Amino acid sequence: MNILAIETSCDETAVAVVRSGRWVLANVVASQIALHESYGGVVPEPASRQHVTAIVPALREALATAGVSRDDIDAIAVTEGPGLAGALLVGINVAKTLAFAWKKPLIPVNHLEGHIYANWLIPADADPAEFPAPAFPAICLIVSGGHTDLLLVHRHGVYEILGRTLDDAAGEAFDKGARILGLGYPGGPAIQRAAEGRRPLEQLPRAWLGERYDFSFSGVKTALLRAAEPYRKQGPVAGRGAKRERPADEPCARHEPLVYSPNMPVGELAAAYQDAIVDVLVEKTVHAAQQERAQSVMLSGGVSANALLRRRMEARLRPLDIPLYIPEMQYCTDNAAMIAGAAYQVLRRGALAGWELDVRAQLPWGAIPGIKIIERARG
Amino acid sequence: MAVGDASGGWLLGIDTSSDVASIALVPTAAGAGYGAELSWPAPRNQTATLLSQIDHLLRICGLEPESLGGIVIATGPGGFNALRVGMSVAKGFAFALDLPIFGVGTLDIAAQAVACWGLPVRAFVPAGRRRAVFADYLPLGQALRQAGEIGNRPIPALAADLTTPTVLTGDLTIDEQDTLRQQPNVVLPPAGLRQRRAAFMVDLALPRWQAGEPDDLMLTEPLYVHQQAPDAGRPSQQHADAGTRE
Ligand SMILES: [Zn+2]
Repeated sequence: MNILAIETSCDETAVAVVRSGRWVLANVVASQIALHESYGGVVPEPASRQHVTAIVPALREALATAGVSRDDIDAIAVTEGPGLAGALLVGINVAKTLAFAWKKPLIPVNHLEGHIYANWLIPADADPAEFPAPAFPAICLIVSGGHTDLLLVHRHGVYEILGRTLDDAAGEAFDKGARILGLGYPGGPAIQRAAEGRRPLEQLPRAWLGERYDFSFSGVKTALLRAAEPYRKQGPVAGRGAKRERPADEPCARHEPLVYSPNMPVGELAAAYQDAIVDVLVEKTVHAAQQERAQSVMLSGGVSANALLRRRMEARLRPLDIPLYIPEMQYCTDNAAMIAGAAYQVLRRGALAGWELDVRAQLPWGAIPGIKIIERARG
Repeated sequence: MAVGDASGGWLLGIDTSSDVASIALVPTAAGAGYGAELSWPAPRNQTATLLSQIDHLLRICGLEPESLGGIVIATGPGGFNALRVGMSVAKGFAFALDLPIFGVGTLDIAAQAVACWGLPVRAFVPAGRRRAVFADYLPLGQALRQAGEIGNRPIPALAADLTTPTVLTGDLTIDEQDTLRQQPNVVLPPAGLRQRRAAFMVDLALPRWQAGEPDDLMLTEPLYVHQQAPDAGRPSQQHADAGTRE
C-alpha cells in the first residue's frame, strides 16, 4: 500500500511516498525559509504563491526518488487543515485532481495527527523488528511554530487532549524571542545557536499553571523583552521611525530588525529563555507520562529538533524506564511523509474524502470522522 | 467516445478568476462534435465545487480524464486565492496526465466575447472594494489587441476618460450597470454577454495548442495584480493565522 501525500499547510511544499504508513520511499520538502527570513516570519500571501510554483517539481522529485509511477500509487493523501487557507488550497486542489485523474482514493489528513505519526516513519529498507512502533498508551508532545499540544494516545485514532498552549506556541515563542534578541528566523535554531555553551543570565519566570497540562509562553517573552530593554538603541528602524518605501512587487512589508548595543549578553539571555521554555515542556510531559502510566513518550513538531529539549527529556525519562521516541530531524518539521503515515490510519478507519473536500484552515482536533477525542473533565 | 472523436483529445478550460467560475470542454479536431461549457457562482468555495463540476462536465460529455489533450487556465488578474484554486487543479491535470498547459489572461477572455463587434473594448474584472482592474483593446481585423497597461479604478469611474464609443465588458452589479450606462461613449452589452466564458478562453488558446507551444508547467502561475491597498497580511504564527478564507 503506497500512499502519495501532499502537505502545504504552511511554508513547506512537501510531497512524500510512504509504504504501509511506515516505510518512507521519498520525502521531498521544498522549504521557503529563505523567503520568510526577509519577512521575519511566515507571511500567508508569499507562502501561498511559492506553493503554486514549487508543487510540480516536488511531485516529480518524489516519484523519481521513490522509483514509482502512477500505477504503483494506491492512494493520494493531503493535509486538509489546520493551516493557512491560501497555502492549504494548493495542496488540496492538486491532490484532489491527482486522485481524480488517476482514479485513486483520496485521504484527508489532520495536520496534527500527521505530527503524531512522524514517530512511525522508518527508512525504506528498514526491518520493523529493529524499529518497534511506539507502544500505547503513549504521551505525545507536539511542539512547533503553530502548536503546543500534549496528548494521551490511547490507541490509533483515540486521543485525549491533556493540554495546549493558552497563548503562543512554543516555536512561536522562540521566533518572538529571537526577534527580541535581534537573532535570525526561524527563531528556534537561532536561539539554540546563540545559547550554545552559555549560562542563563538569570532565571526567567515559568508558567506552571498549577496542576493543569496547559502551557503559556507570553510571560517569559515579556520577561525577556524587559531584560533586553536596557541594551536597546534608539534608531530609525527601532519601532515606529522612518519606514522604507515598499517596492510594488513586495506583497507586504519586510521585517526590519531591532538595533541593540554590542555589549548585550545575547548568548546568556538566549540561554535563559531557552531554559525556561524547555523546562516547562519537559516537566509537564514527564508528569503526564507518570500519571497516565505511559508505555512511551513521543515528541513531534519543529521544536523537537531542539537539542536541550531532547537531552533533558531523555535524562528525565530514562530512570523511569519509559522509551522516548523522537522522529528523525526531517520528520520533526512539517513534511508529507508524516501525512502519509497518518493517512494509512485514516484509510484503515475508512474515512475517505470526495471531490468536494474543502480547505479547513481552523480544523479542530477530532473534526475528521474516525478520530475519537476523549474530553477530560477539568478541575 | 459519446460526443464525437477528437483524435487530439479535448481541451479543458478552467477560469476561476472571479465570483463566477467557468469551465469548458472543447474538441481539438475539426468535425469532432460540439464542446460543452458550465458556469456557476462560486464566490467563496471554488475548492469545494471546481473538481465536482469538472467531473460533471466530463460525465455529461461521456468523456474520461484520459480523453483530455490539454489544459487551458485563466491566469488573472482576479482574486488571488480564487486564481490559485484554478491553477492548482490545472497543474494537477497537466502533471497527472502529462498534458500541455496554456495560460490565458483573464481580461483577454472578457474581451473575447465582443471581439467581433469591431469597436474598442475596455475589459475588467472586479478587484474588491468596488474597484476593478481593466485593460483596453483595439480591433485588429476579427481579433483584438491589448493597448496600454493594466489599470485599476473605482467601478463608477471606469468610463471617465473614454473619448470614443467603447464596449465595456465585465461583471457589474445592477447599480453599477445603471451608473455606467448613463456615461458618454459607453457601450454596455447585456449582462449575459459580459460574463466571461471558458469556451472563449479555449478559443484563444487553440492556435497555440495547434502550433504545439504550451507554457512551462512549473513556471505557470497566476498574474498577481495588486489591489489598491495590498493586504497580504503580517507575519503570523504557523497555523493560527488562517489568512483569508478563499
Ligand atoms: Zn506542523
